[in-house]
Amino acid sequence: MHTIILPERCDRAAAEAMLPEFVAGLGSGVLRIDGSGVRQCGQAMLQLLVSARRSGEGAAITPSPALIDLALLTGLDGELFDDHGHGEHAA
Amino acid sequence: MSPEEIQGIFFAECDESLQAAEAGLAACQAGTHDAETINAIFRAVHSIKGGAGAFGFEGLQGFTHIFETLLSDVRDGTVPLSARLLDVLLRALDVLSDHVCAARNGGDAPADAAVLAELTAAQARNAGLAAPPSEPEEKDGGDDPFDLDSLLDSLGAELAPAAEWHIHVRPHAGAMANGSEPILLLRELARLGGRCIAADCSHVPPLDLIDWQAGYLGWTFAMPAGVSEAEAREVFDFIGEDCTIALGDGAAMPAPRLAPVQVTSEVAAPVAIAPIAASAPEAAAAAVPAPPAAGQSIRIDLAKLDRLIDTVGELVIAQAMLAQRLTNENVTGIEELGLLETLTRDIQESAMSIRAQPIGSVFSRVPRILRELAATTGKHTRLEVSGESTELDKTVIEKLGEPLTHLIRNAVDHGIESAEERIAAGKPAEGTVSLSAEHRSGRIHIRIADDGKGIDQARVLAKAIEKGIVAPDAQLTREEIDLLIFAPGFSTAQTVSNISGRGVGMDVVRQSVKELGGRIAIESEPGKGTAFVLTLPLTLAISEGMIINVGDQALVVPLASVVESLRPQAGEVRGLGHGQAMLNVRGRFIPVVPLHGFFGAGRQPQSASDGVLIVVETEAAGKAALLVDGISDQRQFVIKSLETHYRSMEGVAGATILGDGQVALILDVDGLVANAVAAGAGIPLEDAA
Repeated sequence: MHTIILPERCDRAAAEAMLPEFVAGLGSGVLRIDGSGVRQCGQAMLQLLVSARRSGEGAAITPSPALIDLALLTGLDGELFDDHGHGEHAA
Repeated sequence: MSPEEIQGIFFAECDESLQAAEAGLAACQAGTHDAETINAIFRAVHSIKGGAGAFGFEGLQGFTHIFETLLSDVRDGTVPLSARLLDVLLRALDVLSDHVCAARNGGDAPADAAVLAELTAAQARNAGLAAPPSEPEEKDGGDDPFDLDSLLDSLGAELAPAAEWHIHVRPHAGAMANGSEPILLLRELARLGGRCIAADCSHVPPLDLIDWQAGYLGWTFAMPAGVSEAEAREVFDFIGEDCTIALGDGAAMPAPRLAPVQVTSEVAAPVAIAPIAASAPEAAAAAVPAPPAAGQSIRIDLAKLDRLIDTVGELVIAQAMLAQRLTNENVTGIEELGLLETLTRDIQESAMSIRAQPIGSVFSRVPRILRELAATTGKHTRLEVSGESTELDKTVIEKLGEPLTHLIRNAVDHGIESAEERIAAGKPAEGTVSLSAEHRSGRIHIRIADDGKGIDQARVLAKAIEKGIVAPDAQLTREEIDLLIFAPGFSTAQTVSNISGRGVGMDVVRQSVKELGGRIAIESEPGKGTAFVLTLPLTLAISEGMIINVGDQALVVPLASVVESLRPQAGEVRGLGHGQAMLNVRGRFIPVVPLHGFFGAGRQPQSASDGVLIVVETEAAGKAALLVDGISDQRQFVIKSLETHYRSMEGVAGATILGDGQVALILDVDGLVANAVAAGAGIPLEDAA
């Protein structure tokens, strides 16, 4: 299964660059997204992650501490990581 | 526009805000301030804070927060504006300026702990508050243990659950597109004590329909009662209309601004249509382009402006070449050609005016220099400024900062006496440095004057002889002795300090001014003070000049130097030993400087009456008459640097391209005449007719 690895800095430019990869992953089961290296993330990428969770068969996101912190700040922890959207927490 | 460009705008606005705050605090010092002045200082600092938050400059944001908290209290009248407080505010402004520099250059943040402590202490001391810096809004009962009301209030606050209020935040595409990051604003809300209670994901489309540039998410934050709505709004000040906010429990979450999406049959999945259909009315509204915000100015990339100036320069040359070509073909009296010339000149003036900036941007750094000098030398100096709105080219302004700083430091270090000496001399204990600027004869005159002890000519001369700069038996005029301070390696400072006294400052100043195509003169009176007068061109790009012929060469004399031109009558030019000649101009003799030998341009006329004499005014050697074969034209010329294409030449300021495509050298009249006079072309004689 293909895993999308998020860059350390998930800014707007990263969202633009990674969108095609996200779209390409549709239709082949649950999207695996490795965000364990993310240190910084902006709204553009956050929206992609929410969208990925809501598209097709959903997405499983492996978060970094920074991503968890962001999810808690923005009230999206359930949206991004709860099991119903195939998310998973990684230690 | 890239994030870097947006950030560049932020820093440009920081500079403006710092200048505004500096001007406001200067008004406070002068006692000419009013409520609006304090408000303007507050707004300036607040504006920097807003941008710093949006771009994630936490150090800068933290400092401005404390700074503006105190300013807010001053504005509200809670904290009185005393001289002591003003001193703290001025030093805080200096640190703020350093913070901006650090954020801009990516360097280490300045050491601000001491000033932060002073700001916090000033607020607590004056307002009777003991609030920690991070929570300046909280007010308790102060130090008075018997303030029962305050004690009850604080007790009540602890027991009663704080009433929260809600703010809805909806960042739109522009909030992300302009280089700022909405998440940072949410963090700022959290820092104020807010917490996210709802995230609106209902407008987020599936991946195959998502536009990475659009803003789909919205948030609702619960804010503590201690945070005012105004404080929450301030978080979003910098981002403006790119983020819609709604406050209060009754307010609804604002709708996103989403562009209509073309849903094709291939992607028309039901899950995708629902959220977009829900936002259709809003989308339709967003499809109508909003009218541009009414603004009085726009920011332009300097590189684009430079390209425009270059192109205008080429246009001036092309227009001149066309006129020359038509003249050569005996096609004259064309009305349209005159119109073209007028329009070209208008375009050139307009283009140059875009680059023009008030010199106040350079003057505004002087108060800080004086404050720093006061701290290191103990000499307190009052600053008087006039003509700060005088405009000149941005390039000149940028290069003016360094020589101006040297001159100010020199004025305080060498010119202004200590308070004891001043009182003994019957002067006010506080010295005065005055800065003025004015346009005069197509150039700008900048005067930096102090009311200090003036130049000690005996000491200057002794030092110059000691250092071998002049011969012990040299007979120098007062002006020449003053000018010795510009000699490389010259310094009369008794001790070497980090301010001046290393003998590297003043010759660097003269060189900097010279590189700008300017001149520097000294006016000094013992016991009264010294003034340095800088004469600079308004622009370094285009000037007006007289095209002269010397042998087979065409040369340009900048019109700013020309006093008059004449063909001398017999008897008006007299010999003065060794083939030198002097021109009698209305009873005053000035040296004649033939240019032929200097430029290796053939034989000079047998007598001055065979050629044309151009009387020029110079800073160093007064008037002189340049002997040339003839004058062919007077026109604007585009200055091209000789150093860029060849190398620096004594007596030559640059080069230009004439209408016929010929390259002509532009004379450095001052340097040329000074060299000629020094080489023995003659010393001006007065009333010798």
